[in-house]
Amino acid sequence: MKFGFLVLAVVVALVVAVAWLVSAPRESTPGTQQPPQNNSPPTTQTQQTNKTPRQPVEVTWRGYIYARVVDFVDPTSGRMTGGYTEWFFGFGNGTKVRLDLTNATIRLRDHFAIYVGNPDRPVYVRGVWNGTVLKALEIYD
Amino acid sequence: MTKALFVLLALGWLVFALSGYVVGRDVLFVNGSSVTYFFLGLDNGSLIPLVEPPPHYLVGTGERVEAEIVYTEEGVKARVLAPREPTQTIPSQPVTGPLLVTLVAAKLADVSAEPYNMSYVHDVVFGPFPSMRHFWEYVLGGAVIIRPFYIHWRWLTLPRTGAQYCNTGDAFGNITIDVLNALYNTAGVRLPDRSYLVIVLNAQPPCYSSAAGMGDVGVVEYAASYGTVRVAVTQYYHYADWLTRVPDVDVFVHEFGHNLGLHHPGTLANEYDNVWDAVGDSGVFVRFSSWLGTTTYLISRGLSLPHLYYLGVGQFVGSGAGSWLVGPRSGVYLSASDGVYTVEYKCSGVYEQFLDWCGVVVHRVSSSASGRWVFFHTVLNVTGQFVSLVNFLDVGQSAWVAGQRVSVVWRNSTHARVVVGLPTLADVVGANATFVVGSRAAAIDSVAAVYARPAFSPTATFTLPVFQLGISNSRQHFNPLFAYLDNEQWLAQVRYYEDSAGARQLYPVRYPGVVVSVGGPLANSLTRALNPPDRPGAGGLPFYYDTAAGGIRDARTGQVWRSKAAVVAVVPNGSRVYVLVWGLGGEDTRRATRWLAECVPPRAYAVVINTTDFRVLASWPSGFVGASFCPGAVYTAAAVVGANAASIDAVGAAMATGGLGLLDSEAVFDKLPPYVFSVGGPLANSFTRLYNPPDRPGFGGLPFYYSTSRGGIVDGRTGALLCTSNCFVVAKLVDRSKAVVLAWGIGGDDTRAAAAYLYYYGRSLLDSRSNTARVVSWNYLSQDGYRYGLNFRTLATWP
Repeated sequence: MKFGFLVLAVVVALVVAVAWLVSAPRESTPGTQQPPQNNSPPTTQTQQTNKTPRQPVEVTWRGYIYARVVDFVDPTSGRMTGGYTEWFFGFGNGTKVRLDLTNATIRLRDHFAIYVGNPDRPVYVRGVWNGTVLKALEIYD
Repeated sequence: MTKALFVLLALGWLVFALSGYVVGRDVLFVNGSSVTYFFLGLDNGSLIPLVEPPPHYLVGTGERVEAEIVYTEEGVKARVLAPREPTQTIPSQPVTGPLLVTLVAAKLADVSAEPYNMSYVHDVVFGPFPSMRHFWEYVLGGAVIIRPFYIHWRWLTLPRTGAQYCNTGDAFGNITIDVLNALYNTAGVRLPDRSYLVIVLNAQPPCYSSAAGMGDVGVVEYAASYGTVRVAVTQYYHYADWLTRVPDVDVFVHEFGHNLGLHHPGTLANEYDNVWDAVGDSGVFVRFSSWLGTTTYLISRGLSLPHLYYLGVGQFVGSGAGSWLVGPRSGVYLSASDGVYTVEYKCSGVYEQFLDWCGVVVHRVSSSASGRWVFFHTVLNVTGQFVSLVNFLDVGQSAWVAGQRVSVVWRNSTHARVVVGLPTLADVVGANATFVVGSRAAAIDSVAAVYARPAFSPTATFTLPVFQLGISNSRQHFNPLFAYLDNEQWLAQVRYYEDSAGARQLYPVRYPGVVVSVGGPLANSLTRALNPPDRPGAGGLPFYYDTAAGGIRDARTGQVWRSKAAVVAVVPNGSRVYVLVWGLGGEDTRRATRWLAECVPPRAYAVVINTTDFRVLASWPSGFVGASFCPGAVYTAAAVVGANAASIDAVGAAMATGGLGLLDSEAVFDKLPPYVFSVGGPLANSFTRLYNPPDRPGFGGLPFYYSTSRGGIVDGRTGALLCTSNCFVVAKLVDRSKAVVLAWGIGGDDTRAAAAYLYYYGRSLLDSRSNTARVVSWNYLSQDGYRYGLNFRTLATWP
């Protein structure tokens, strides 16, 4: 009897653990899974209009790395003088958020350049989302 | 036991890789048939039969290949391995087939101007050369076809103003989405997945007020009204009104490069500093006739090898130490702890032809989260804002790259030979060379350079004496000299760059070419600097002249050769490659250059040879001692100089021709080859005096002669004194079926200029079937104190 109670306790503990793991904020794919609030990817609408940074939360999202380059020019000589790169993280459904790679650790199997703007090479980005910018901490596949 | 050992050995052979050269031997049978056998030639001369025919382009080229040993029933054979692909440190994402491009010209809601008509918009993107389409189809070797998917043949008005777009925080993205929606709403056009969209805007949105263009790096997803669209977008902004007359093809090419996945490949300091790559800043103004009539275009000038490799069309012919022939879209790579270095040659091509230089350039490939992964690598000690203009290697130049020496020994319009590691004598044969002799050496030392010349080829390369920022000067060369005295101020190749303050700076280099220094350390100061007496020379060269012993000493063994010996060595030093040729006496020096011309040099850095039988007495590294293989040579030309003439006369002879190098006292008419170049005036060269004596007309009525009383060249037909300085006589006289070519001036400099004239402009004179002569004046071209070429003006002709 005592042994049966112990087994029951272990089973209950396991069920609780599994439930916790399932609900844990690990990763989300928009449209296929309902993530908890603090791990939700923004919609296009929220991304464009929500200017107030939210409480930063750590998230892990699966999606795509996008880059866009701005090329400045000397209007007299036509010579390119400078520029910068804007980074985005996209979820594959048209929703993109700005991506900060400053402190990112890259753990990708191939060269980073292969993943940029490549719909065939999704990545996981673990980072801090403040409602405006995703500060990447780790990128892996 | 024996069997097991045998199997082990065989396995050892199988995995053992080695390198060498592919050679073929034809056996011709009397019935007219033939068979060709192919071998792998090792450095020590051994030949190993190949188990299968090698690629034809490797046979007999001297191209170093890697091979594996294969055990067969017929014995040990070798198999040539395919060129190694670089490690994944150089990424590759090949692009092939049709690329569908949609083209739209769009107006911001608050700007009504339509600066371009639609033909202009079409042609700058899809037109013939120069256009975005043409550039990418050309540089990718036909791997892609850029196909218009949809062209919106009128200006499309956007729903928002520039300021409104900027207020969204993502002007680029919202302009793109509005264009996508407008195309769908007005024309029912949905862009295909992974296609390209080029948007030509009539103005810059205020938040992009300095931008010429923007480009997605690869494909980006956009939320159009009809769903998510994955496209790579270029936006081009009308940044100046002169663009209506001067199409900026370069910006379109550059942004489309981003669309293909490329990032800026400039230097570490300036990501745009790369004139050799369209995604750097290779733009240059060039005027020619094309789709806008005769006008000036701003065009790109090529693509770097790492980018070509990424896109699937670049190749690596090898890696690491060896002698490599690199050409368009091919190069070598060197692995290092901080990335992979690529070495390539840029010169010819529809767009590359507008590079101001032909040169070997180096890039480093690495990975970083900044997005940039190709970096232009500076090989010379020049830093500043824009230094990619000067940081290339021309022939004869050498630099350290990734811990290894990279030297360029030869080039033509499409290919260059690059030696990674220390070059050997075998590597430098045929090199583009300049020749240097001692100013006070005996004429016999200097005339040896005439023998050296057939073993090499003279360097005639470009310089850039007229600098206009950003305007192609279409590569010019100005009759440069390639034969010098050791104490001379050489001609310079003038390069320009911008320093950190953006100011123009001049970067002159000594005239390019492998420097062949002829004559020993006591007669030639250049040789002495690199190979001084009584101690080992530059780079550890073990052979030197031992003044106490009166001979050539081998520092490794102590052995001394006191007669009939000479040193031939390759010495990379600083940023140049030198070849030293010197013997114990003048005749030994001449014999040593003859050995270079007539024998096959070993893959050694240096040798001591016996100047009588050409036997190799010692080599560095060791292993090449023995008889030389000397197929010999048939000389069709000889240069004759006065035995007592100044060295500059003799070195001038090397400027005129290669072949037999003779002193006037040695010239026996019947034994001379069909062309005899007699270099030096009648007072210095008795052979010249025979045909063109002073103070009277010469052979066959040659009217030009040196007047001892008037100190200049006189035209005997009129008695006029034609010149007293900076002039010379060149003549072709036909004597007993031989062509005697005279080249002499008032002084030694003039004589050398005469020889240079023959090299650059002598063809019509040499082709003449009857006696002919010219008197020509000349001067050095110079800029900022640097001489960069020669200029000629004909004063008189005969007949």
